[in-house]
Amino acid sequence: MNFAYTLKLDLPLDEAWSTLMDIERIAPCMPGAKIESRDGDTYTGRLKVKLGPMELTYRGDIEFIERDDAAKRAVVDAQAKEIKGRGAAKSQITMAGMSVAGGAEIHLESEFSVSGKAAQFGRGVMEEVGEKLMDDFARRLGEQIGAAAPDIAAEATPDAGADTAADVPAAAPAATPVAPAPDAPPPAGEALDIGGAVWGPLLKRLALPAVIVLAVLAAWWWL
Amino acid sequence: MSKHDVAEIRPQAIGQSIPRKEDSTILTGRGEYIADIRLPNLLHAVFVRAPFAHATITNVDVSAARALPGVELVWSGADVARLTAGIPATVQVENFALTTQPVIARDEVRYVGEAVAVIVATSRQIAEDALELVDIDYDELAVVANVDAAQAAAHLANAEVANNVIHASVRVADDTRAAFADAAVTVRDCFRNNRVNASPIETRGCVARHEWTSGLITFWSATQMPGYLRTMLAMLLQIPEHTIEVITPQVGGGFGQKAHIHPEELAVCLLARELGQPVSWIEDRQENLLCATHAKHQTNDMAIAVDADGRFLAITNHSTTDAGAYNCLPWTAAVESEVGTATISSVYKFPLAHADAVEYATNKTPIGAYRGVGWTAGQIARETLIDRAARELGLSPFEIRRRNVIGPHDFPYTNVTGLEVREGTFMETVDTLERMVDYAAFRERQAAARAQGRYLGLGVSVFNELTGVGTRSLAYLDTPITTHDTTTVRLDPGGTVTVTTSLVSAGQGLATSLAQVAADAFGVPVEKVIVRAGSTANAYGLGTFASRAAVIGAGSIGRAAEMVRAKVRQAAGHMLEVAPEDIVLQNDRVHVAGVPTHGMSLAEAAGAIYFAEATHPEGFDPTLEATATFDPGDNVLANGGHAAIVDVDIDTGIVRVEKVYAVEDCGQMINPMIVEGQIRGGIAQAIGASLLEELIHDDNGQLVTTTFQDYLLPTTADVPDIEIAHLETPSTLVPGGIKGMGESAMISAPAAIVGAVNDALAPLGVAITQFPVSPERVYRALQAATQ
Repeated sequence: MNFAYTLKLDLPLDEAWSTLMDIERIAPCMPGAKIESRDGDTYTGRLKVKLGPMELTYRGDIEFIERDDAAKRAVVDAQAKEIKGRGAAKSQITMAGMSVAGGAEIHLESEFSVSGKAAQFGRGVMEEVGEKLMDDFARRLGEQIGAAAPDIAAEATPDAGADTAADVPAAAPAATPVAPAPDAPPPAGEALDIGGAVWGPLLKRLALPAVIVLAVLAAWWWL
Repeated sequence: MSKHDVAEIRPQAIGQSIPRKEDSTILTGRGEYIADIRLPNLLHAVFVRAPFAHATITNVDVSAARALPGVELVWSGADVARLTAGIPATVQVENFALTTQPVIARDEVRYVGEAVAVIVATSRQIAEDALELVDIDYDELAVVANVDAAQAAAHLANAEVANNVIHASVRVADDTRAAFADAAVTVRDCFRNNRVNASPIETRGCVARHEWTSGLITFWSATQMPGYLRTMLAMLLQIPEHTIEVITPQVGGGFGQKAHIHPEELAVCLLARELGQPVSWIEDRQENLLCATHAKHQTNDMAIAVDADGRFLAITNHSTTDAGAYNCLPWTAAVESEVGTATISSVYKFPLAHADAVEYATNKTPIGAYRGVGWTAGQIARETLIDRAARELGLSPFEIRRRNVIGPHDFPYTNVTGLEVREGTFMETVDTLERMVDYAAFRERQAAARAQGRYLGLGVSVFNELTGVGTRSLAYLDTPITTHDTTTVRLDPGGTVTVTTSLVSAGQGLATSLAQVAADAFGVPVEKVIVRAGSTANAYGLGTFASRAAVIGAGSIGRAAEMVRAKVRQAAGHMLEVAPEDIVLQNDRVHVAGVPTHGMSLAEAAGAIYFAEATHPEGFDPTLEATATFDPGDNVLANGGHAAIVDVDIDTGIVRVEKVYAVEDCGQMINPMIVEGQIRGGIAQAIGASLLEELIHDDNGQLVTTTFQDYLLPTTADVPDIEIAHLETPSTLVPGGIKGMGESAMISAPAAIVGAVNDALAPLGVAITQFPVSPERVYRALQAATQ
């Protein structure tokens, strides 16, 4: 699967790029992530994710397999296993930076595969969970470098576009209990609880049937 | 007397659309399914499932799970391996790979979802919590994710299967080169079918109870094959067979998926014995999509040579199956491509053929039976190519079929794959479909719609089906299994009839249709018959699958009833002072043939036999119950056809099925309402299989469609009006002229739907050969065609 994301930072490109390349510094920006050790260009760390009632902890390595600071291009290879053997995740992330008016833009492109429990939530859910993960990451990164640049604009562009059902207006009353995205990110190191992120897409898809059910109930009531 | 004997049954209740006896139970929610079974001290099992398609298990730590309060037992593969070697499955033919599926994987997992541990707890909730505490280390192995990877054979999906080839077979090997060289038109393509799941509304499940005092095991299972399951539990678990009773409560749909021996069934049986407490297991929907047998994943590379008159000269087909990591028991990986290859010429006169099949082992859930077993994919390929040939020759889809089906004057006709076809209304089916569709009017409507930018299409498919599948049909399909199922009938003292059968009702109305047969066998009203099924304490049989229950049921009821009728005739003849041969049983009476007034009620006759020895002839044996088995003497061939009209939106790629027509010839219908219900249900599944459903795996063999949000089942909104017509060619091999028909719509309707899409898109130069026909595939094909 593919995932693409564009991060806009109100920083000069050189500064934005060097921040991003400092894995130990930016890792805490990823919700639930923690770097445990470093060996040259290879970092070992863990990522804790709560998917509804399930808590999954992935442990693995992140390695720069390509890094060109002059061209502002880097490729990172990440491989992790769930510590109880409930799956694994592999990802190759290509980062490219460029100057834009008022700051820098970092394009992230990730080829990833997930196995086990997490994979079985379905494609639409994976995309939206990935998006939320990156949203949180971008917000926290903004805070990290907040002193220098408080304004962060992030924009997700999931490329598959397969989730047509997401266009269904989530107007049904049944959809209102969706947990709103937390205003404040959780403290660094705490597990990312993407229960809300999982239910969001589910409820969006349920919205249309819910409207129909309500309409039928209403009709029945009036008969 | 032989098991093939055809007893006389004169249709009276047979042929009537009487309401189903089982509906009051089902519709009021009083049906008892597996998850409804509550026993004292019932424990609940859940299975830990492998997250990888292929990996070595390096360590299993279940200590934390075992320590959770409420957990009674946790087993890993090593614990179960002491008790059973697992499920061996093969076909007794040369070079067919034997695979042995462990009940719980011990050293290696070979598909995502394979069981790696089982937890038993006092509640399902606790068991699921414990599941999170099991700690397993894996080393991932190279994954054989599809047929391409299996053919490359750089890695093995299962070390038991050399070169990843479970079996390769050549069904017919004529030299077709000259035919293709001479052909006016050659049509050829490669058709890629989707992997699907039968998705019964009730998922798989079972409950086991072991009484340590008596040593008896009671095993409730949502199975289509209780007798076979009992034998396999005994063989594979080394339990004396007579100590096991398998009970099928209400079964919420089977469609073939429940006609297998599942590893979970073996595990639950062992667990109940180990714990001395009953154990229940019901899978959730995600488990069902993940690890209940998958189906229909064939690829067919087919070519047909046609002469200038539209007559077929030859057919060639190379079929492959993406069979998963193990052979299912009992059908094995042969269930798809080999069945398809054996029936590839269907109702047509192909002078020559070359047809072969290869089943490849892959790191996926085993392939198994699903309604229309093996036929569906080849039917789609052949009928689509026939339509294409018709377009090239300027013939109508009906005319090209009329020129090639086995006609009324051709019988008996031995077709190119060696099947002797003695009967069938193939020509009438084509004519009837053409009338129902109103072909000329449709073409006008289609042209008018096209002028407005709307793309309508018509697809046609005709077929015949091996039904009432017994020993002869299984041998024809290269599955040498002997079968004959028994039924017991009893004429009760009050003149009512009790039938006990090994056949299983999984919602298809067997308790009603078999009662209609028994009513006519004894000449009593249907209300006076009860059909008891669902326990191996009654009778033995292989089970309910392959459109066989109506045939096997009618045959065995007929034979057993004849034995009892002989007793009644003997006693009544003595009482009425006529020869037994002059006595008939009809209209709830026993009387002298032709003289209804000279006789007595059946109840009086039965009462006299049971309770009044003075009325018995000398040396009379008053047993009024009999058990008989039945196995049809030859292949029982039903036939029919389908036509579909679809509307393809070329902007969105969405296909809407506007109308489906079905023609069915299943001989004498027992209950037309039930027959039509089978047709409608099968057409709904056909729409799902051809337009919506697809089990999608990623490159690592990971199933990514594990909910009904991603695996799209058809809903009522997707199923259009269905118009049904009946033809009737009674079988001489089955009492009452009955034939089977349960699978017909899933054999043939998908081909009609696919044909209709291709007819709609033909003017745009587009052909869809990969399924399901999703909006994305239509869109991409249109994009490719316009570039």
